[in-house]
Amino acid sequence: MACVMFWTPAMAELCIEDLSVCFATPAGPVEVVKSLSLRMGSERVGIVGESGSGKSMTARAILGLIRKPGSVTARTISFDGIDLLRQNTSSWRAIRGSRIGMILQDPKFSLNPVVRVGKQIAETGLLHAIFKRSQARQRVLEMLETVGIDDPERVFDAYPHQLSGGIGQRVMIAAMMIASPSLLIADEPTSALDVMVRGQVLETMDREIRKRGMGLLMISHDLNMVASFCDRVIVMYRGQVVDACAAKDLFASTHPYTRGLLNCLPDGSHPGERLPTIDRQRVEQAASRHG
Amino acid sequence: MAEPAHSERERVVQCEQLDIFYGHGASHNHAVKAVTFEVFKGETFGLVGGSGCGKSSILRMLAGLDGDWRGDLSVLGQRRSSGKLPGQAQRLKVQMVFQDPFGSLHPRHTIDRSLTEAMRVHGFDNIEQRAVSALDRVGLSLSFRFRFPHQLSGGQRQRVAIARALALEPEILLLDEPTSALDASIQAEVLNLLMDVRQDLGTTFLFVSHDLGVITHMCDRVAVMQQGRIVETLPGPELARGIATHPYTQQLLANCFPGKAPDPVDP
Repeated sequence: MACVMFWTPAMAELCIEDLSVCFATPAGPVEVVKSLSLRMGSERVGIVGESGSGKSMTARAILGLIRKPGSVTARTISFDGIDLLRQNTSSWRAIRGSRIGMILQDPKFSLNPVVRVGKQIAETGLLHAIFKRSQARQRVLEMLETVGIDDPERVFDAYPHQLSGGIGQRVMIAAMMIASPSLLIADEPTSALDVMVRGQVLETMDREIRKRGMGLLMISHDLNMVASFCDRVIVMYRGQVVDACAAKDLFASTHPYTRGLLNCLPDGSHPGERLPTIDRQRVEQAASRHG
Repeated sequence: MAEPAHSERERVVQCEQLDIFYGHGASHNHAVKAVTFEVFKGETFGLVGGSGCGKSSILRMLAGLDGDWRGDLSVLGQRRSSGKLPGQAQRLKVQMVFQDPFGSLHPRHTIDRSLTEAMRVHGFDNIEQRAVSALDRVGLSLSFRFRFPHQLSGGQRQRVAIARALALEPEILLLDEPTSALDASIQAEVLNLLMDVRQDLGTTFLFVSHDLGVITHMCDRVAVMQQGRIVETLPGPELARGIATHPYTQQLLANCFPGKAPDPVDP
């Protein structure tokens, strides 16, 4: 599929053309992302799909985080005029965190377990020279308050294991926001959280993103969440974009895979009945027609 | 569905004024506070609430994993006194499936070894045959038997964890967020499997989840927990229809089914 539909012109634009990510395996190369194209400005785009559909690999490819034996090929990956295909280790350092930030799924694994939380948040700001070491504590405390933490002092001096999942994820958001990137990639930011906390964390993220006019690429397997949070949605299946639509039209989509994903969610309306599962054969057929 | 009145049904778990504690001294944590509930034979009883509300603690205590508790408890007709762990006979009858299919299987044991270990501990006969039929029951082909967990997907691993629990022929199955680590499509398959098990074997389920959609789909009765207390217990279908009296439950409902989009499921 060519570049995905409408986009809002903005100062920082992410442009991906024909992105493929390939892994060499003993059984031959496996293409985990197949010629994906995407263009987005400061809007909210959701990528949904099951595990293994290539959504996280897409995010990693944007930030140059695919390690060997993986290989990335693309006609273009650029952000705000910067060619992301031609960066070396040190030039990446100026982009990651300060221009494009990333929030991962589980704060338990993405925070360093033996470093106090405050120090970890300050690290990004210090690295990109956003503030001086002498201001770090103050700035981090402010940031923690911004993301809705009631007792920033305690959290600043805590170790990750002393925090709940919700607080941990807020810490991650704080660490990402502190360098004010123009694009935030959130890879399943709320799937480790419970429903109540999920709502609060999304609200925090939403508020900060709007305030700063950032773009958001939200990766999730939760269709309901993406539909209510994003402007438009891309559905991936086995490395391919199979469906793309405005978020408000997601529930009306007719693509068999999108339908399958929507229908298999239990909502208590038919308790105890067998849940519909995805008809892989039909999806394959539709995907090959699409490709 | 005509159900016999509660008084006529056999109670498999009866729990009164249960308190569960963790830690000592400064880190002492009163995780579950004066919780009272009962579970009837063959029903699916749900525990729902935010993280840290104590729902998993109750399951862990019932499974005999945590011993610092106080209260009036009887499981399968046997009284257990405060702070006591269950005996081996009762451990056998109460099996648990954990949330994380990546953490609950030994990474260096084959599926076969994971399945058979508990059976050997409990002195089962025909272990081989039981392992084979357990795999069959959860819809995994025999080719999985001598694989390692890393060669399986999350959904397949969770099937193995369910098979391991079912192989011991438990009367009560404790399910601690069994599908929250899985994709929605795989979740549907695992929930279908659990419903088949319930129908075929009549196993009693204690189902913990924070997902109201899953809970209302699976459970006959649901206890809503907040900060270590049960704030209300109500029939699953009522919860699904949004009939809740407690403000916390209403809040949960609002968060879980936010302005439900027009239902395109049945045209």
